Amino acid sequence: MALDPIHVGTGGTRLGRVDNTIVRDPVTRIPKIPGSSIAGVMRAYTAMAKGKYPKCAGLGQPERNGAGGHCGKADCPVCTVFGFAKGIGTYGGFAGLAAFSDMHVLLFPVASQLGPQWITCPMALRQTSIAEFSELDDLLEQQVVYRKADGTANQPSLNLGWLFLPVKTDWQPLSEIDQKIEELGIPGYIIGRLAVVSDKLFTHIVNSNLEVRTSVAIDPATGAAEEGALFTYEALPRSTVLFWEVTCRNPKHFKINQGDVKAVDSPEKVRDVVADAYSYLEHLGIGGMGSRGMGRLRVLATKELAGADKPGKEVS
Amino acid sequence: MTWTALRWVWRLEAPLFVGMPPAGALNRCRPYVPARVLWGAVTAEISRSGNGEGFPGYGKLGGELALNCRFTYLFPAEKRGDKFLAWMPKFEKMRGHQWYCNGGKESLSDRDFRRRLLDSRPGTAIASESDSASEGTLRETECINPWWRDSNCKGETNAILLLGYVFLRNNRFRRQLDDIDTLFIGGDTRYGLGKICRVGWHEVSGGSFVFGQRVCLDGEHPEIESDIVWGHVLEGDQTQIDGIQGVKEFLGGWDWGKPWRGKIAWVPGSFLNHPVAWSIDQNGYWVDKEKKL
Repeated sequence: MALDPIHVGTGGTRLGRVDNTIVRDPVTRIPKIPGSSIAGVMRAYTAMAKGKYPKCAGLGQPERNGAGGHCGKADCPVCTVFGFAKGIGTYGGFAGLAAFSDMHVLLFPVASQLGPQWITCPMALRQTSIAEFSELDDLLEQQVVYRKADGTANQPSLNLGWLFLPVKTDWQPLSEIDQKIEELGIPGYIIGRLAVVSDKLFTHIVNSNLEVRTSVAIDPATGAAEEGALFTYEALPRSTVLFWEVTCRNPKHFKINQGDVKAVDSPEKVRDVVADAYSYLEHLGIGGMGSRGMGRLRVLATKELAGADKPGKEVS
Repeated sequence: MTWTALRWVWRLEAPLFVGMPPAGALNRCRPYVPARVLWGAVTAEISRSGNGEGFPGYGKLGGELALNCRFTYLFPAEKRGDKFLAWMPKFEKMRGHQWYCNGGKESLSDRDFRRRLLDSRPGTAIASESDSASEGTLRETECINPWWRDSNCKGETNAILLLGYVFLRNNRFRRQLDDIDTLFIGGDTRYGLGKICRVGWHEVSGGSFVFGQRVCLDGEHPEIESDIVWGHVLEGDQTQIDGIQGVKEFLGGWDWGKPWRGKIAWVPGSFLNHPVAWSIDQNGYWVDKEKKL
């Protein structure tokens, strides 16, 4: 869950829109955080947690004289879990035991006349790989918001940002969704304000309700805004709930320089090494604009997927 | 019948990167999955699942798999109604590569097809000492996107599927293949790329057609009778492919931890004026059946 707004930028600017845009899925247009961004910060924070920073963090390429770079040892928890390269012209690199999927928006907070509502859609739920959601069809009625039947449900309509939508409470899968989402460790105050919209509407609601900030450089000579230095940037708002998978490979199926992996001996241990970095994620964050109060994330829960313990299967 | 043919269809659960020579800072992606990539992924999966907590015998099993299984390339496909329709390349004079849906009339130029299929992800390494972008590391990785862009302009977001065939000698490895429902293929899997889930797995029966072409399953190797090749054809190995037209590329790779020297090859979609019976060799390359494998 985002504790601050999160800005993982595309590195480009767009005329007529926000200057610094965030990464989106190219087809659904829903913002996401690439797996490479997560893998990078998790490596750096794991290196901090294990006392291997900065040598085993970052790109880890050795200097021209061969000094520095990732240690690449079979007993290094950072190099075994996150991998290492030996540099151009040399062999013996290792791809790493943990793989990070893209982070997808699962629940998105939107202002309404009833206070904040957390919105999701069947497509976002399907992406969680939770078996019960795998065959979830899109909603039949596309222009409706589905909520639980509670005290506020007699409200016939609800605004989600600028959209004003009729409310319905007769969508059967909602109670199961509530239950499964609760198992993910998501706080009750979010589950109590959960609503589901169609896949199409979800894209519009998310993109219309991103946090957009405006900044300008101040000219120290005048104390006023510097000419031409105004810019805007967007971010996923605070309390957005994101979902991602960490695939942990069995160290016994791999070798480093023909020797066994010594730092970890099971997929669970790989997961534990990754989990050591979660507290750093909560304080140091991910993405850009960290000095402007952006980027912190709290990992609410880790849940193994059903079937992940089958022989040969990797723990997620 | 020596060989059993099965058709499998996979759905992309994450972007997929199958590398080819880069263009500057752009790591380009192939719009299909070569058989050798599949062989590697299947070898890894079967070795690990069959070996519990021990170190898998990748080399031995890989050799057995290559001997007893032959893979076609996986080509992008989409589901329309209850049918899986594959997009296949064909080189045409004056037009270059065209992509045809299910061998029908619906076609797209290579440029349009790649636009519908591919997306790119920019990235940079962060220098740990400065916590800012590391100098000279900006690059872009082209990927097959999990969703078709402008799905036929009908406004629906259609999942990208990958369709291909497997041939099994005397049905060996059938049980192991039955058990595979998820694979990680291609590059950058550590960044979540390359996860595919199987959505279709059917034995090809009756007339035995593969990509719409007749296939013979009785010989030493499965043979596909086709005037278009839907795999790489290595040049220099074969004497009877005079008249083939298409695009050539230098094909290299890795073999047991060492770079494979590589060869000039005709790319998928290259064609002849007459049908030829093609065999698929242990690396997934298409070989004229007259050549001894």
